[in-house]
Amino acid sequence: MLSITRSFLDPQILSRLAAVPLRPRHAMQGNVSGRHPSPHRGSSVEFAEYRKYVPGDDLRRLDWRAYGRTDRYYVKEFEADTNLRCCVVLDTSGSMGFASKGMMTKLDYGRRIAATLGYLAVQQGDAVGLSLAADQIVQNIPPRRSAPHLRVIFDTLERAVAKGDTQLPSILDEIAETVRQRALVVIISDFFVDPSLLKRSLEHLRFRKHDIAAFHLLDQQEIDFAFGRPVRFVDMEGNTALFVEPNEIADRYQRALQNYLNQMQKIVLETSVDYHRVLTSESYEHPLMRFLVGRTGSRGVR
Amino acid sequence: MSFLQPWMLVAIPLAAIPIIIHLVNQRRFQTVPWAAMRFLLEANRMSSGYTRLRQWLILAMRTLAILALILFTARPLTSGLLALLSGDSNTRAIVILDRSPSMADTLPGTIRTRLESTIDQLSSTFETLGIQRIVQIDEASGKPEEFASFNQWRRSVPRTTWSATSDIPGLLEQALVYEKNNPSGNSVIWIGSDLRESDWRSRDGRWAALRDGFQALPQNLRFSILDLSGNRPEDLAIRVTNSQCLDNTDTPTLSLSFRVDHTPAKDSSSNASDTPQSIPVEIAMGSSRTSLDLTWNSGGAQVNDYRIPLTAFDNSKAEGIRGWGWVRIPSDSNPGNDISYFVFEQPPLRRTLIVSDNPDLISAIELCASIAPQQTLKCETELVTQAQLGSVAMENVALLVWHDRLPSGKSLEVVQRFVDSGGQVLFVPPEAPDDTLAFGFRWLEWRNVGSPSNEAGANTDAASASFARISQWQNDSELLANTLNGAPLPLGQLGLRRICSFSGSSSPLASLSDGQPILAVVENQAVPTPEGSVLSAGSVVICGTTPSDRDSTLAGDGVVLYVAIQRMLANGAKRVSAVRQGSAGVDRNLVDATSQLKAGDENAPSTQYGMYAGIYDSNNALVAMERGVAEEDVSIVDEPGLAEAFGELKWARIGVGVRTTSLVQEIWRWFVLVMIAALLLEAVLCLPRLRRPAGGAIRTPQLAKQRS
Repeated sequence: MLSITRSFLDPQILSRLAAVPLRPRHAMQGNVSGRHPSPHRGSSVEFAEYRKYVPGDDLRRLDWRAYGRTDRYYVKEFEADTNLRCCVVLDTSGSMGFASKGMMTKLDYGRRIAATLGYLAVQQGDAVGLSLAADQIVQNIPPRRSAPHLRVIFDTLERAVAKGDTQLPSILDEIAETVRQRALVVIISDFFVDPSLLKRSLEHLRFRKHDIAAFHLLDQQEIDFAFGRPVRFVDMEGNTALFVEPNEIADRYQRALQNYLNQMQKIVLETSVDYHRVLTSESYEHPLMRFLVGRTGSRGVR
Repeated sequence: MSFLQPWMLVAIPLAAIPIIIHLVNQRRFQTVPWAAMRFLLEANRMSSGYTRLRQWLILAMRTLAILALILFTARPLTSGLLALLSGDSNTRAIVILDRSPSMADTLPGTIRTRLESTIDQLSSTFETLGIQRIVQIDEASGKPEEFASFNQWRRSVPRTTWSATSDIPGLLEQALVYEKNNPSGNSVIWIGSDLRESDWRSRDGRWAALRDGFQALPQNLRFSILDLSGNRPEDLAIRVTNSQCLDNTDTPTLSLSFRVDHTPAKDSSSNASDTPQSIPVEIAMGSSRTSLDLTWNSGGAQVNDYRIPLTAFDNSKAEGIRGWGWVRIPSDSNPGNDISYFVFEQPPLRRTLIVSDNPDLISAIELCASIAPQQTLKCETELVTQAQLGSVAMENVALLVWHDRLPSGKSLEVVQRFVDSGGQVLFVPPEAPDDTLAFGFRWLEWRNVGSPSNEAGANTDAASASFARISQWQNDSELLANTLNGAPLPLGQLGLRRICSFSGSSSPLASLSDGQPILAVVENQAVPTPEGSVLSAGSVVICGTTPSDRDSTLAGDGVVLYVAIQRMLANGAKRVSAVRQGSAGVDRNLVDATSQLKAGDENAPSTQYGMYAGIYDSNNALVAMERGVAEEDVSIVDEPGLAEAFGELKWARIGVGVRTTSLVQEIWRWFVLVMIAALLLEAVLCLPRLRRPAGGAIRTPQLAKQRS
């Protein structure tokens, strides 16, 4: 059993979530044998197909009964099970440091989701990696399945700070190229980027046959935009400042936000992203539970 | 718009409170680190026209609400320029009311006359404005009357018209004198009138003096003219033009002439009055009545020489035939001009007294005075010397011709009394003038003004050319006025050989080319009376020559001499007549408070008999007071006429409908409504727009699926 004494981990939530296995939506390519479907044939007990014998095949795998019936040599193949490589991409740009009064920052929220997912994955024998993304990949930890590796990930999460611009699309492109195919890529971000650029990056990941999941973190105040008097807004990712009368601009802000959310909805549908829009005001257990439960129906298409 | 509480207007800057709050609020911003900056920038780029307009509207509504509240507390008044001119409760109001007969119009659909309407509107205005210092200027009293309070003025203000034509310039002169003697900080002169030209006399020379006088006053003075000239209804007026007693027949007869004038309605466009219509005319003499139906059309009607036998009068009585009466038409919109009064008498003897030391020289004058111009008149002359003057009964003398040394001592006293009582005196130079002074003049000396070679008086053209001629004369004077058909008297044909110059204060009536007066009238002198001094009623005329052929051709060309003598006789006969015909207002001195009203307005104050038409018995003389002749003129003083009359003075003409009850009204209710409307609109604009629930925007697809 792993030690869970981090501030961003709640043992009770972990115990409840552990009851639901983390499953990919597609066949994964792992390093070792595991509990998830693999695109390759293996040695599991689950029959896959018959194949004609070719010289070099292991004679032990010849199906002598089939030979007796057909007078031909067939090799009996079985499905292969492999482990899961879960690559968590956590946005640590400046905007993730935003929190309305009394609430946790989006980065803290994302830290909890990432840590919980990593714990669950390692616990079921899957490998977990972590990429902190801001204006570049701040830190990249390749997926591994060992318990000490999880401690490294926790330490990395603990040290993460919200800083810098968001260059999430280019970072996702980089991850798509560097991470081996058929991995579970979990993106935790507020996605305050150009939707068209984001779409291209998601398509890139999809092209690499990754199973993409996205946790879209939003603060309640970003939705409501409830301010009583004139406010000077300072961009958390730069020095841009804007003086506005909230009552004047609220309608147009809501319109712009709604347009953006609609675009995001369209993009994730087109790119088959397992998309979860999350308010930081709700407990992180709920979106995670939705995430896990939503995957229980799929056994992984090979 | 003006205000009853104008000091409240100092609070108007408070209307800027919403703007100040807005600006302060702009300064009180908070700085917030913000993640979703891209949406803010995008929203900032979107069109903000309506939102910005909404914000400005909200600010404007808040400002308007406060402004309306302040104006409401300042108690605003209507009537624009009128209210601006009306001043406040500290302003002194000088009221001049046109009480001429035309102000007695009762308009269709109302029971109020123009005068009553004016007074009601003024009362309401003064009450609204809280004006307590009111001065009334009236023609009858002749002096401004001050009132201690508005209520006192309202109780005392006369609500009836009289028969005299108003003299607005004269009333304004009184106002000017009052303002000079009683300066006030702010004064408003209210003139309520129907703007008849006959009342305003806009071309009168007094207006220039009034303008200069009022402009020279240091106080702030304004004129508010309440114009009641609108909605003039159709009207018929009757007036007696002549009443004459004819006693040359067996039965004395009254010859009565009168006319009916028709004034169409001001806004009437129909020609209904062109068709002849009939109207009953009632004629009364004493207690007897008669009537006749008179046909009239748009031009009115005229009745000449309507004869009524005077069977009730006894010609043998000592006082002769004398009586009074009236003619009346049915009452219409203006009852003030539906009756006209007249008096009549047997024409009195026109007696001329000639005082002469050489009667032969003035025999032509005696002849002219003896020949009556009408068959009904009787003329008589008496020749006396100055020494016999004391024994002559002057009461029956109409004209005194004085051809002797100027009177002095007791003679002068007799002549003076004669003139003061209305007698006419003609002074003709004696043959030997001395330096006696009488009536402000004295004879100087005779001098020749014709050619010496023609002194023989040859009746040739050359002789005619040797006369001095009269080069100029006053044909607007009563004595030398043109004839009834407008032709001038032939004074230019008179020839003068010798004249006696005179010195003293007199007004020339006719002069030679060198300016030497040949005929002059002595200015009327003040006569002391118990009530004060008044001008003498008679007149004194000086003639600088005699009708002798040696001196002039007055006798030969006798037309001028005859006309002048008869005109003086006619004037002088009035003093011996027992009846008087006068015009109300102008001839107010014909009656006084001791006169007895025989017919007329029974509500007329006795002290103002002279302003009311009617029949009066004044000092055993019958006086018929008629409404002013100028009342027949219905022309109105237009805006340019008023502008010319008032010039640079602060004045305003306020068109007032007769149905109007008040000239100024408090309109605070409107400001309350404006305030409420502004607050309601502000509230509507401030209503938050209906937003979609926050959860709806971020509902995750999975959650939505579960919920469905």
